[in-house]
Amino acid sequence: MATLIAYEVHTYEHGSWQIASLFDDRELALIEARRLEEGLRHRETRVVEETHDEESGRTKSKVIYSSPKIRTAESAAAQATQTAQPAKPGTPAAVRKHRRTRRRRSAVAEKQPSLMVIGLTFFLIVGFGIAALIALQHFSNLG
Amino acid sequence: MATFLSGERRLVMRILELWENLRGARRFPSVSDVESADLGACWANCFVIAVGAQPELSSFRYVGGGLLIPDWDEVAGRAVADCPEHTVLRHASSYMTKVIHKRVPISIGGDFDVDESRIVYRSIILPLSDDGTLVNFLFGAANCRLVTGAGGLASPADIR
Repeated sequence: MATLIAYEVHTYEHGSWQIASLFDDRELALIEARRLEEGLRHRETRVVEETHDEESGRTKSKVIYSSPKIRTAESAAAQATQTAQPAKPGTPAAVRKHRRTRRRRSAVAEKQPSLMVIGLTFFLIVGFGIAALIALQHFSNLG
Repeated sequence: MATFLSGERRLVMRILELWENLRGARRFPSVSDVESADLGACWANCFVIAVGAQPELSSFRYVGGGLLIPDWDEVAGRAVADCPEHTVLRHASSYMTKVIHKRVPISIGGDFDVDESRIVYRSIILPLSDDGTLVNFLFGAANCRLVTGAGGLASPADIR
């Protein structure tokens, strides 16, 4: 039983990948993909290697070439995904993130006045007010 | 009139480029779009198949001098199935059913023995359609190299 390898040249048209041509030779498929993307239509292309194992009946597909435009878009998407993913616990990235969070929380706590300070300020204001009233009454009695 | 645009020298790649130019925005060019004048010397290595109601009933419409079977006095109307074994035309037309099914150009190369010699070939078959949907003709091309003895066997991809 043999393994059959075919190379499919795909072009991206109307929002999906379409098979443009088929080769049994890798080099010719790559030449055709590059020729299409350099053509007047400036199409995005890729080459898919299809390996068919006649014994098991299984077919494996692998993209062996994609246009520079696609590679750029894919790497940008991969970077975005990596940034959005949470760091695994225990990893240096996770420890750094935890420290950053703790520092941020304590800084916020330092900026907020405590209840004790507010209470003392209240009692001081009320005390001064009462003392002022008593003093006023005392001076008016003298007069 | 379509012409070869690139400096590509491989026959199958030149034919594929011509087919792309002929079809333009359509899915397939029609058989009337294929003109011998566009192909120059390559025309001798080309063939046209009229697709039958069943693939096995398909017949040759044209076979270039480079692929002609010596015993055939008349080419037009010859059944593809009658093509003799151990000929480039036989190998180059052997996967026509796959092209009808897949509806895309397919290029295949290989080698076979004739007497004491080995023939290495590279071929291509491209679908043609008059109404843009039904593949009613196939346009093919092939070239080969005769390799004598054990040494110097060329890869089918190297054939131009």
